Amino acid sequence: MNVRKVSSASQLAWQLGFLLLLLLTAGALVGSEGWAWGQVQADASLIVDIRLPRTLGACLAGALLGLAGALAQGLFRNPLADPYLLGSASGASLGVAIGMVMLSQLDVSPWFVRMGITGMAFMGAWLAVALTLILSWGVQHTLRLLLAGVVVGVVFGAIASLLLVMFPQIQGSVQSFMLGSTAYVSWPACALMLGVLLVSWVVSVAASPLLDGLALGEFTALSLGLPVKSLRWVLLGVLALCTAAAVAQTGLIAFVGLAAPHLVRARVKGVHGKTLSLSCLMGAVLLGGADLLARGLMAPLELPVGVLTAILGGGYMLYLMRGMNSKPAGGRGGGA
Amino acid sequence: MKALHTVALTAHNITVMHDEFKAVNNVSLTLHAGEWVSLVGPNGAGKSSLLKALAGLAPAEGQVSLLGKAWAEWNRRERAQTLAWMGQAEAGQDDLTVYDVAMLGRLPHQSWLSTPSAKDHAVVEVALKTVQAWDWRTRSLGQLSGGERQRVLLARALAVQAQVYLMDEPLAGVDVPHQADWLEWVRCLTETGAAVVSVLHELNLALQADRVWVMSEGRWVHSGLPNDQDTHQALSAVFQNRLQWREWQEEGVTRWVALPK
Repeated sequence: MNVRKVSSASQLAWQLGFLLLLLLTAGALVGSEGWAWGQVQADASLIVDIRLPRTLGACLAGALLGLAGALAQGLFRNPLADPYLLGSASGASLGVAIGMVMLSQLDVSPWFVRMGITGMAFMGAWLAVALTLILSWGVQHTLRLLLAGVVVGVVFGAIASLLLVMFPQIQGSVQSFMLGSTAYVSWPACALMLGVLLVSWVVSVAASPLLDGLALGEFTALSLGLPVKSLRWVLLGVLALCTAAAVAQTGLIAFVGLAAPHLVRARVKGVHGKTLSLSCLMGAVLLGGADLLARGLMAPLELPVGVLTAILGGGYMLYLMRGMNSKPAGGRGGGA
Repeated sequence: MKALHTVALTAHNITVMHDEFKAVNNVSLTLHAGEWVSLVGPNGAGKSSLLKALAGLAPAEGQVSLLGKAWAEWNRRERAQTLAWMGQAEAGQDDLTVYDVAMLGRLPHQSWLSTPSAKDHAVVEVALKTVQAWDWRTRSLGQLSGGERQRVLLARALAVQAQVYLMDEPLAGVDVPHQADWLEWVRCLTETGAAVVSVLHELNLALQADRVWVMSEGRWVHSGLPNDQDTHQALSAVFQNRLQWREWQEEGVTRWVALPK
């Protein structure tokens, strides 16, 4: 029995790993001219300095969002939960807008600007998460948490819009961030995301028995001797960290965090230790693939990858909702 | 009747508040090892709240002792190995397989980050075979009917191999043959010295227990044997005198059936 379970999970892992390799190779070859597969004479520095970091960055951001999505859906026992649920994306956007306003007044190096904006995105995401948790009086009540996340998201979004009106000089940069783009991901950004991903993955897998216990309800999780309260806070912190790291480097990219865990669970049923890892891989493949499409579909014009994921993800969301409506209430039958 | 010596669980002056409402009002009780007790009462009597308080799952005033040791003296893991809980169905994700769910029962016996041992797998196999769920162990929870799901949750509780089992409506949605099986499983558990408290709405199943605890409006009303006239009177009283009692013989033993009137 176990053999079959493990084989389907490892089969998916191998398939996603293979796809990831293909995407990384293709990402290094596809440039602003589109699907120029035969462009062997491309400058090596172009590949190493621009295409590879942006492709790898897209995959890493996707992996972070996939992990955050799987965590959110497990923690809130809600299959439609999203990493942006806690308002962290709106918080990061506001942080970026404030960072741009502040840094536009200073004469500093581009590197300093990038780091400053990244730091502000982190702070904004954390502030939004903290506010959401304060407004919802903790994480015990899912509905209150969802509503608080929506409220924080709307308020932070409105403040960011106000900043845009007050400081029109940052409009172009902030808009590019809001649309989501992997075009400017550098090697240091990749290193940052890789570091966050590794730490987050290890912590998440170690704490995954909590998510398994919570799948049967909070009382069951408690009765199994799991430190529910402390592990929940740890995983919430990881969720916010993953989202902030991805958003700070690539802007707002919707639906990857929602779709990745769903696509994994459609293939593999099992404990969260398994599905969290596979969601990372699935997220990497989804965003890596979307990035490649965004570059190639209308070349030499590049689509913002966030727009592409929003369109594709929105369609997927509607498909999910349609599936939910057609599913009968209660169990699905089937005798022993 | 089994000889009941060891005290499995005691509770003194348990009070559970739901905001301003006293769901459980100053209840004290003793549960012996090797004993199956049915906790019975009308809707809203406070049965589930009391069970949660006994399991340490809900804030409550008063003292609970497990195997003679105060609640606070237990560490979380040892307590989870000793007391198994099976609650009413809670909304959750349905992606875990039947086998994974049963294996969760072994979590208190595993150290953090360790993989299940051969013993864990063997215990889970026995538990799933006991509830006749072994053949569909690769199915996910979402593919099961309500009754099948309850049987899997029972297997999860059995896999704990605890000394005290607290079960809140374990037979909800379970068909008659599997209800009869459940009675057998409970008797097997108590034969091994385990203590079981179950909240059952099916009164005639509840009357199969060794003892019956009766609650109403958060208060402790009665504790007695299922064939005792005082128990019947207490049950009739809490159910608005809308029970009629019928006597029948089973292998020379007098039993009683409660019918609605």
